[in-house]
Amino acid sequence: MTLTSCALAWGSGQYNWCSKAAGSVGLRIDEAFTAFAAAVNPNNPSHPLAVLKNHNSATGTTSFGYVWQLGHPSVPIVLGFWNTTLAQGNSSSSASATLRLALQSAYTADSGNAGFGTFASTILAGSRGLTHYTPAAGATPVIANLAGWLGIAFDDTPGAEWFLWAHGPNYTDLYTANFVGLLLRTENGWAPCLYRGSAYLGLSQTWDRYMLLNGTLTLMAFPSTPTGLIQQVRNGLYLVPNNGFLATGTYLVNGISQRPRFPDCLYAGNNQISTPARLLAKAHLPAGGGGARFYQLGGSSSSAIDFWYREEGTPQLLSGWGSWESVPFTLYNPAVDSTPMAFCEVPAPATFTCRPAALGDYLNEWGPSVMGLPGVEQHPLWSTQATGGGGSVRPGSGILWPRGTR
Amino acid sequence: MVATVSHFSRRGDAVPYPLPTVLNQVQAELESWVATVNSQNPGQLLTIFKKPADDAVNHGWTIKARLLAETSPGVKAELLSQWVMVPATGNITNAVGRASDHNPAGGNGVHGSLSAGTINAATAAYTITQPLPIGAVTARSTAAGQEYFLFSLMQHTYTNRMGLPIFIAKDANSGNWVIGTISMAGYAALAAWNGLLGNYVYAKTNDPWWPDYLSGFAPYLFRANAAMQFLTPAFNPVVGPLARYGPVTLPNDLGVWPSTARAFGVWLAPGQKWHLAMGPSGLLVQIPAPMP
Repeated sequence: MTLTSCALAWGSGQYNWCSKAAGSVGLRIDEAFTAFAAAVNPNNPSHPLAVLKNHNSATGTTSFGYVWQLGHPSVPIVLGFWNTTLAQGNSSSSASATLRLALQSAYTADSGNAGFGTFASTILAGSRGLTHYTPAAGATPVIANLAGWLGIAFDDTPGAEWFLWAHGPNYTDLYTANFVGLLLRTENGWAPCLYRGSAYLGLSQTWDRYMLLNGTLTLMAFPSTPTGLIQQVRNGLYLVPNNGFLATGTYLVNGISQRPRFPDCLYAGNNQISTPARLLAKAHLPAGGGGARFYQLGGSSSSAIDFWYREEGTPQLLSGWGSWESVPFTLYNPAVDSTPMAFCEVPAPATFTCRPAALGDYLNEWGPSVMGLPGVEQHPLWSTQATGGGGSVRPGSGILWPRGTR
Repeated sequence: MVATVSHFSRRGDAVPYPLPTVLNQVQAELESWVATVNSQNPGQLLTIFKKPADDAVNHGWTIKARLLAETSPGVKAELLSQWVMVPATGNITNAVGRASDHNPAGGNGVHGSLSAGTINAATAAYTITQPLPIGAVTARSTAAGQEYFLFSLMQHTYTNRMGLPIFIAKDANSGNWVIGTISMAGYAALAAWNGLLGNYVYAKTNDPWWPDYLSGFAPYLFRANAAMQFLTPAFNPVVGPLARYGPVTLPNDLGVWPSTARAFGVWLAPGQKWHLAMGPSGLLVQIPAPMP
């Protein structure tokens, strides 16, 4: 097992998504993904990763991105992401960059879509990724004079491989947007999860079904941040399928829920602050925290979910890359940022099962209070009391009423 | 594994009112369980400091748990948990904290009081004068490393009339005891030793377990085993503004479920695994399958 964790930072005017220049952000993502694919493909002959398109594929001046193959023995998937215009929005619905997930059989790697190929159909197409900074809704997008960053991390442990990539312009206000992507190797194949602001997008395969996340659903349940904390983030995260996107019948009552688990170095939680002061942040934990370094990935405004990445020790760097520390994140300063923040570790559960509805089905789940007498009669404990146990019982003979001693 | 379950529920029309009898029955079981687990855990003994029969006015328990963890070299950490009910008023006080913050003469009858920790002051949360039935179940295990003792009490199905007067369980991560109570009003007072932090942590007041379901969205997810989440650092004065909380994992028999029918609701998981809801906060315990 090798963990590779490294980053790059671009100074003012140097960060440009729409550039094919050597060392530009798009080609650096390509470089990192290629390195990840080379590391994991030998252990995944039936699930090979490959770059189908990258920034160099762009034939126009406004479309830049990538198309990756996520191999699978029967249903290989294609993940495509590129912007179509330079007019980026500032929300998940106004972004013009589109993310596409499709069966590879529906994809033709031709010159369509400004060089990124043609999709006969998609499993999912959503405007969820942002590549450029837009100062405010409706305002002119800024292309020049941006500073920005790119962080990547990947683990090639067989069977538990993952690839994380996050990039964006440096935060300057609430409308700054960034992009976080995670690719997980599950027992059924590759599961991508993509995040921007408070919008999620993802795909996982469970048995023979696709399960999708869209931008309307939280990734998982997050309890409200305790009073007095600026943020409480947790690890032990999973991709949770979105019921609204599912074909009917995907959930079996009492089915065992199979959920792709995020690596433990990823944390998420509600953000309680609406100023950008704590965006592009990092935190160095004192000795009690194991000396870990935390970096904020999916910065967003108040009441949305933030992602944080934990790095420990001295990780391996890709050649020519710097450390995450080389990115000018704002260091959380306990003396100034007096509002506390908690990084919580949540252990892996032994089992998940699920039910599809809010209320009990009264077959596998019931409370005596909602089921009344039938609930009591089915109850493993109270049923014994109804027929013996702790109270008076129906007499075996004689009159029923008035009853004798109680 | 499944819990060993005892069922002490009573009709409410008995005279005299049967609550003290029920509490004493639970106490007898608790004593027996404590004796067994203490023999298995000589390095972290449990002590029943006060029991229901010790005070005719202030019913309840004050329990001390010595931990394996040390607060300083040679000094074992000690936690103290209280659940005290005054039937005359229906008031319940529940609290957890360091044993060193316990003042035996601080009130609550013979039970005394804690000066720090998570303290839920006396709240009217029991209707002792009404002839209502009492739901009372204990669930316990003495399996080494997976020990727990739970006592769930319910007066009726309102969410403020079901509680967890006794919660003692072993943290699978650190091997230390987790101890506490949940009042009939749903206020948790739970404490654990957090190995990563090297300090005590207290459970959040009304969400003591990490949820692993989507609030408001299907599917609703059951998780075994349960894990605890923690309170604000304001209650952990030694912890700085940046804190990394290690996991506290409860025994395998315990799970979490966003059930709409809380205490004593039943959930039949795949594989004929029967679970019983204990207390008001969605904690489930695996129980033996009922006889057909």
